[in-house]
Amino acid sequence: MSDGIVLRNGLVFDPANGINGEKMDLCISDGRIVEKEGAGAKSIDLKGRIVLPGGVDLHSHIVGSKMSLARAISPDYHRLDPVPRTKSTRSGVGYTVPSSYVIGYRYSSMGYTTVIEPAMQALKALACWEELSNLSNLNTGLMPMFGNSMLTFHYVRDDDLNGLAGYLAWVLRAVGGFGVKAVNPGGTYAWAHRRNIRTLDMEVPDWEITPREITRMLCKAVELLGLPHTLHLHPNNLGCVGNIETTLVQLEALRDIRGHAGRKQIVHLPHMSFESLGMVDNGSPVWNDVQSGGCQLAEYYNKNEHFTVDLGQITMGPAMTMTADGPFQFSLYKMTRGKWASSTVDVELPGGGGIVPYEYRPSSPANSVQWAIALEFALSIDDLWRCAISTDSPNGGPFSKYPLVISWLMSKKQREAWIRRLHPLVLERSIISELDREWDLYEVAITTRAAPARILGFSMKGHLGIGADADIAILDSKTEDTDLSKKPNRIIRLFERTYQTYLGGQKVAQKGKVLTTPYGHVSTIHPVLDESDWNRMEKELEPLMNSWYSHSFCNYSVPERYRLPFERKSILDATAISL
Amino acid sequence: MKKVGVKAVLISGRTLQQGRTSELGKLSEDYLSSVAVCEMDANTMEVLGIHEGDAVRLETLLGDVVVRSKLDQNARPGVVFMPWGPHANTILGSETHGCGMPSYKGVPVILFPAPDTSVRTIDDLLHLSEGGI
Amino acid sequence: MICCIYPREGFSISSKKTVKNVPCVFCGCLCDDIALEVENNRIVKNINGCSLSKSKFLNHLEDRLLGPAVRINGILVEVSLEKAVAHAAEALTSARRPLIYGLSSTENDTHQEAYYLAELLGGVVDNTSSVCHGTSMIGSQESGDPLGSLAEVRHRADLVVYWGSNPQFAHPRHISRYIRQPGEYMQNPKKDRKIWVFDVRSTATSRIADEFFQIEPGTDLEVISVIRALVRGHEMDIDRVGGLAIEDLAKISEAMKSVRYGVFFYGLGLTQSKGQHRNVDAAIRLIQDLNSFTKWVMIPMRGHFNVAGANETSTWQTGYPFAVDYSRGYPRYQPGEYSAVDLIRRRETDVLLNVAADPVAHFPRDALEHLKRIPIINLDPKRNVTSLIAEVNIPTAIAGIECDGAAVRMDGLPLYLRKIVEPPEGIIPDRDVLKLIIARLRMVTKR
Repeated sequence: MSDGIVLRNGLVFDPANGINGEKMDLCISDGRIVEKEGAGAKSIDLKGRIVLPGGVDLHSHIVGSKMSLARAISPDYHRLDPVPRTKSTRSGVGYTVPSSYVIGYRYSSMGYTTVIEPAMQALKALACWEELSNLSNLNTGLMPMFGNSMLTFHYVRDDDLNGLAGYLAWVLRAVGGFGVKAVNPGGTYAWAHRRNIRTLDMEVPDWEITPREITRMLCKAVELLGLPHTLHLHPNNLGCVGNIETTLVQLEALRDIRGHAGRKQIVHLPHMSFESLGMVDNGSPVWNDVQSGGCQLAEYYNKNEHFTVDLGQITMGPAMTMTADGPFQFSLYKMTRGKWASSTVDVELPGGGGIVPYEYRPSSPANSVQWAIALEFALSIDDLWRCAISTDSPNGGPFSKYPLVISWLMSKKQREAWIRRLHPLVLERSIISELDREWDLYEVAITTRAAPARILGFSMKGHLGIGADADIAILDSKTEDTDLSKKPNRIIRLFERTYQTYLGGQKVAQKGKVLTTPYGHVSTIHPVLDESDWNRMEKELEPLMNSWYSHSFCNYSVPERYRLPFERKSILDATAISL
Repeated sequence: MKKVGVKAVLISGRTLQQGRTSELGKLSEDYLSSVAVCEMDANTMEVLGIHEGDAVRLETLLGDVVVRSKLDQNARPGVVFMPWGPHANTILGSETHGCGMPSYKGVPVILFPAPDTSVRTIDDLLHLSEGGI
Repeated sequence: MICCIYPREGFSISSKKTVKNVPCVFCGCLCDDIALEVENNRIVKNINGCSLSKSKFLNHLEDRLLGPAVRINGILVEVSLEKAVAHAAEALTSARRPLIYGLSSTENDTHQEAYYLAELLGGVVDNTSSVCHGTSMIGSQESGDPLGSLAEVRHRADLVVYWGSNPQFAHPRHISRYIRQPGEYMQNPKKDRKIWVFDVRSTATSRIADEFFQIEPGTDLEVISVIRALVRGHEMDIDRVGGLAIEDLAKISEAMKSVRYGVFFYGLGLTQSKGQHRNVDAAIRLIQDLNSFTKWVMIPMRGHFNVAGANETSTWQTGYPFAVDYSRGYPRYQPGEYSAVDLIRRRETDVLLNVAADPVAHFPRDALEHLKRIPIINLDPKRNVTSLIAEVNIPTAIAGIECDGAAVRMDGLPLYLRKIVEPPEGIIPDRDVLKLIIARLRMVTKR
């Protein structure tokens, strides 16, 4: 790629650099955006097509044991969406839980270039890395979960913040993690006792600690280490009618924690639609009494800057729910009475997460209200830089429904058309029909590119400035594509398949066809502690792990052999912390 | 050859011996002698008029095989056991009823004493019928 | 061509080492506390391993296939690796319905090459789970899979059920390592943790259990269904089922509801018996129902050390855990249709590529009859029954002893396998042989 490429006459939307639909040229060389075109650079005339940074999805389940388990129990789904081999691509299956290769291809043809797996079982990281070697066309990162680990509890109970930070650092390095995830802190653990923990101050069985203490300490430990991405928190009481109250209490419980280096945000709230279930006045926590809590969260969001959000939009149609929130998944199974898979993970996820295939139905009153929650929120907030589009794929629906989600956000006409198909309760229990706001392309570019990249702490992604990774999505737009809000189907078509997608400066997809299948990089954070602190962690963790786990301490780490081909390691100097 | 046999249900499965000796070599004497056996209760042996180690012929709808008898003190009449391996396979059916799994367990079998008959070697088994190499 | 392999020349006689925390590559327990003493590129001592483990590691050089061989005029003749690969590739390309089978006694990288090869050929790829726990997967496709993990069982389980499983023979350290060991919340397992065995015959495991329930062969489905009905509070209008009295089953169901943490380990006694996947389906539904009362999980007692890995790699690449057909250019799945025994007994398969299994020793008679008629390309470290009738034998390195890789434990835990010693001269891992076949195939067919 020595000579590079020049993309001429693009209509560029690059919010991170304040560019809002300007006609300009982009020069690419050696995988980066550069200032000047090289001699002999290949010139491509985009004829005014819309140019966006490559899409960044900060919360989508793409690899790991829960995906394997979900795939394994769903041949009925796979059969609906076979994907044949082509000259350049491998075969597979699609639908709600696509096979590994197909995930990469589908994201790529939609113009996405970076996708973060937000729920890795650290103990099973080896399998994730193996799986990533069968998932091309994307840059990725893996977030191990810590919210129910007995080791986390051990440090929380001892009130040993530095020890906890050391443990997080050790695991991130051992397994090649990118950030810190917590799911239903303490609640999934309680599921080992066949219980849940729905409020912040209820004690976790066996441990005499509370979700409040676990959450706060994890949050502080992340800031102490100075990780680029904040604590990624799936709160307690998810999926329960009225849980917006729990969510607000949990966010409030973290508000006073100071971010490192002046960062205002200290926690990310993923898939807000699942934790913003309101309840009618004098109601009880049953689905008949559900109402949208989207506005309530938006109100809190507009007043408080300490958290970021992704939507977890319900898309209607088939989905595959999968979370490390075992008790929630079981309650969902009791409702559906279909399939229920779950898996416990030695020490790190006692009780275990769960998987339940689920179909969101427009005719369902509850699903219809759920549909409105994230939209209501997204259309009521002031600061889009703290918000990212997601469907919590495949929980709210597969990521391939993003174009539809975008059309809802960009077009009131589209929302009205859908509301007519939904259960009328949506009009009663949400204000969605009253919202006239329509996002423009710039706002979509923020919430699918610039903001998620910023929330993740990526400086080279989500924008098209000089030095950025040349991850680019070019939409197959025409000059007459103005006033898109009136043409929702056109919006869907534009975002469904790009005109061209570039990954690291290489053209990987064109008009929905994947041309080449290079592997992106896997971003990892490599915290460096002071040597004596590192030794302390090894000395503490080895006997603990050897006595608690069912395998040897020295077989915990993911060997270099699996990481070297893909890993982009960010060294994080944490030597200043004294353990 | 005695015409009166003992009816039973045949279960095939793993044994420690079979697993251990397979690592010495699937063609080793140790392995083949560990799988060319049929375990049964004392009562069945008595009715057959055989002693432990005597040859016994097992007959199913699919064929028959001669192996050594082995006493299982804890077994009840009616269920006999063979370790997995080439011998058991000669009398098992490959019908899977649409699930991929042939009948390895619960196969109706009739046992006969087989005096003066030797246990089949692996070469015998592979040349069982036409189409052999 | 066959004999024991002796140490390679140039190896210093004084070369000695001890390797610790090695994952054992025999059964689905993947015990990773094995210490091996190695002298002169030969494993001479296995500490901590069970008798199966010892047998595998200490005899790693016994009875090996020495070099690649191709059958010419009915006789196996030693050839170069290149020739054997060319022969294999030619047989595969000329096949109309090739089958790749085995994969459970090798590491995950090999699986990935096998799927790629199957896709290029438009063939079928199946792993040995189709004749062991394949029916478990069909059951889970009906109902789900409430899967447990082994450390969690050790820490918390107060009732351990083995159904149709004889771990004392098939997984000799299962009980001593996970069940009889104290856990964080189970200080006195001998007293506080009960072991129940359900089986059709008395076994080494049933004899050490706290309770042994002997059921009649082929009645698993009835017995489980009745327990499930009793758990749900239904009245039964019969006295006995499967040889057990209803009042005993009522006690069983009450006990299962009142334990703190139960685990249901199930073996081939459940998956291979009459009812097959329906048995597993019923067991899954029972465990799911029990979760309305207390905590229960289940774990399949996987046999080969990486059969769970074969299911997992197949699932993430194709969506399906076994019995995958690529003949239409995309993966299709149907046990009974694309599973190995069915393809072979229907005489569909015209070339078999066997990787790290021994179908000639383990498939029923009429499948064997067809195997004798078709070319078999056999990849295995050792002589096996399949090697006797194979058209091409290509010896390979033993995964987890002579080459590294990853494998998956019965509860889904992936572990990194070690290369302990060098493979015999000229012998390469399964994955590399498959890569050579793929390269040759692509060269010939331009696919």
